[in-house]
Amino acid sequence: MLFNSYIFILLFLPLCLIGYFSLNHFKKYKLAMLFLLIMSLWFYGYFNYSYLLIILSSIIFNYFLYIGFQKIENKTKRKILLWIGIIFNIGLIFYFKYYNFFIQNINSIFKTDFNLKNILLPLGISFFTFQQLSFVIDSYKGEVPKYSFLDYACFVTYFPQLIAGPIVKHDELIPQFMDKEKRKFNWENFVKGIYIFTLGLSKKILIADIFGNAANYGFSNIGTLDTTNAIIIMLSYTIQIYFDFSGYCDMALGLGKMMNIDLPINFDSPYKSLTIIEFWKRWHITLTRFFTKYVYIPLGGNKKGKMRTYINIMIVFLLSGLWHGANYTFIIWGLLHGLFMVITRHCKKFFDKMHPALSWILTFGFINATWVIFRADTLHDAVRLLNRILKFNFGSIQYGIYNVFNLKEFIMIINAISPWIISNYPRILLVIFFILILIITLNCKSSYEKMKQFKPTYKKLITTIILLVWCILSFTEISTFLYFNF
Amino acid sequence: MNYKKFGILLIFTFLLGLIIASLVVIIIDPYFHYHKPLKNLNYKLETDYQRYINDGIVKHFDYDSIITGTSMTRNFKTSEFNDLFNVNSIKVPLLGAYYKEINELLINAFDSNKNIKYIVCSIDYYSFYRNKNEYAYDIDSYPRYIYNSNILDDYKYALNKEIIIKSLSTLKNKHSTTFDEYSNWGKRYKFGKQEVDKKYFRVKTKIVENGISYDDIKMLKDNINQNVISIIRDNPNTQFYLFYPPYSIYQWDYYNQTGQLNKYLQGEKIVTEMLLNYNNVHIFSFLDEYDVITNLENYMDNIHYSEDINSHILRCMKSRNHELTKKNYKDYYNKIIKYYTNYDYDSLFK
Repeated sequence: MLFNSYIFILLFLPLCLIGYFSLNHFKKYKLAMLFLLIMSLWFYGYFNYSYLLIILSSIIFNYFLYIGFQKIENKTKRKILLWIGIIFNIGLIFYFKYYNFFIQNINSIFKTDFNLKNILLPLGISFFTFQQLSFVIDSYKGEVPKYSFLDYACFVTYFPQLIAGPIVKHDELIPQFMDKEKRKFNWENFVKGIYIFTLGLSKKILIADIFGNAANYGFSNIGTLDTTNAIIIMLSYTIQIYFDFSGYCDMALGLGKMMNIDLPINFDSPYKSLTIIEFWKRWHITLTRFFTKYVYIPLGGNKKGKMRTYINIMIVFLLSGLWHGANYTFIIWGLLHGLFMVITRHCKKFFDKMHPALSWILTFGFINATWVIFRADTLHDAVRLLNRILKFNFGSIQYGIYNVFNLKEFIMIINAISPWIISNYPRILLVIFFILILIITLNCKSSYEKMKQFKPTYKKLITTIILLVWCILSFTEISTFLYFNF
Repeated sequence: MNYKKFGILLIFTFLLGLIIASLVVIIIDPYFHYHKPLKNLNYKLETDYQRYINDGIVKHFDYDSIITGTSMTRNFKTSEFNDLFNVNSIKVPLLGAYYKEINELLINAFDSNKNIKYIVCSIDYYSFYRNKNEYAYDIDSYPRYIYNSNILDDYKYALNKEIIIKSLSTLKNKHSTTFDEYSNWGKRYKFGKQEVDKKYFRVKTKIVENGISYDDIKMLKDNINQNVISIIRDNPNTQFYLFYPPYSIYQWDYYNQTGQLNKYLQGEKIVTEMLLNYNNVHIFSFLDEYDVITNLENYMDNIHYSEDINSHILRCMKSRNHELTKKNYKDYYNKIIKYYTNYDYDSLFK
């Protein structure tokens, strides 16, 4: 299921909240957890019930490993269990995500002709795999207290964070499930939760999807772009991915909050970052946390000399790139970020002395350029688009791009005020969108800050209702059939 | 206010907002999903939304005859058809459609209207050799929630921003689109050799024709059987007036250059033979109107003819001129196959 769907908001969520809090009200705590587990599985299996087989097998297998760690004290046996756990979880994600990419490369290097398989990628496998990996490793280290299978299963499948993170640690979530105080419905948390969820939904539907339409158009028509349009496309994707990810993080936060659960912060106004090091402390915070604890530090972190530190950073970013997808674009994206991280660390004095504005421009420019590589279908396409920017031929913004921003509701309102505005300045909405977004990303407080400072006023009430209704009414689109030749 | 009041007001007003929004759509119903046009409002019929409104039109409007088909039928005037046949007709073209899509529209029409006297429909050449279940557009782009009779998925119609906006703008319309006007492009294009030459790109080297294969014939017959014959057979009290659209000579040059000339000429004959088995069908072919087909003043590109040709087709239907019968079709196809196979296409481009 998706958060941005009728069925989730109008059926699933009310059912879930009513069921969960009713059962808790009658002190049926275990039943409430079972209910939550079943709802989360319904959420996950909604598109494809075979996904359930995969996630349930994965959960049961990992829980057995956990029991093994609880019972077995022999160091060698524990080590074996650990490696079984690592290989199983990585193997699972390797098969579903990377098998075809791996075979394609073998085929092209060794001129073999192995068949690709028709493998459906289970939703969120990267997230629940990493979540369980961290649990397995923590179990090995003896850092995990006694949890029942129900506790563990609820932790992994918890629907707010199942599909798109954050990557939650067991000690962040399970103790909250066990907290009896949190089992009582709380209007303040519920309201704050809806507020943040609505903000997140709006970011996805009203901002990310719109800029995404422009980006999709641009990346499918790279050959038609001059410098102006190529830059607009580059910025469009930069904006899309920001609000898409930020939106999902907010929705996850909000959903958890409605149930009195505080999920970890995953996103903190990353485009405000002055350096790339700061960027990775603000973007996908829990992923950075995972790699730091389970890869960077075990490799020695920064404790084994400068050269080793830089190598460790490159390894982490290579893995990060790979984690995002099975394509060279992701690998190169990861390596470039790793490289910039290393350079920034190495030339720390130089970057510290730099004027903040210049530092911001450099960082933001780098992020933009590398997002192009991240988004493109192939490295070739990425280079083509970046080339078009460097050609310095500035023309006017294309219809296919600016028309994306001419939403019917805005046209209707503008035409009601004055019909000649749009016909004379058809690009005006694009300009307004970009300016507004720039202001929001650079000035606004992060959603977490907003949630902390929330006060239940009429202004907030009206804003929330308008945004929520507007988003829901935007779920179904009218298809445009192209009739040019008819 | 306190959080509880905020929360309750939020849920209540939010649901109220959704209910009001959906009521706007259900009452005004710009795509006629629930009822025919309200008497005191003016409804636009727009070509861009044809895949959204045609279904509602056939289900809820008052009519006893239908003109349908592809872009070849856009310029038909229902007023002319009504005068000629003394009926009350609607026109629901589906641009670029293959037979399956048109068939589904007609099935919905017959389900809703038990009193259909005439169906006028184009049998387009480009749909001959298609899989019988193929659609012209990506299958996910069709609004199934409109076509099906499942009321549970209607939230996609009622809770839909664009449709709400369309409903509100319907309140301001001053004019109801007539069926003559709906999808008509009559005067908007230029005609003649110069215009057609601008849009036609001739294949440089002529491809040798392989002729019509067994698989081609099977595909064609399956296609016609499922999507044309079945509805003719199921509705013996309805008269089907079907016609092959008179493409210009440039289109026959295209078929000739790409080695498909016989495939389409023989294909037409096969379809005609199939259709002539039913006595509630009248099939019309204009390939022997050489002076019309070779006169590019009638065309704005290689296939689209002017509204005068549409009017001419309707008059022929009334007078049964150019109708193919069991008696005359064999001679007809001998004659035209010979003509189009021997035509000097190169002379068009000197």
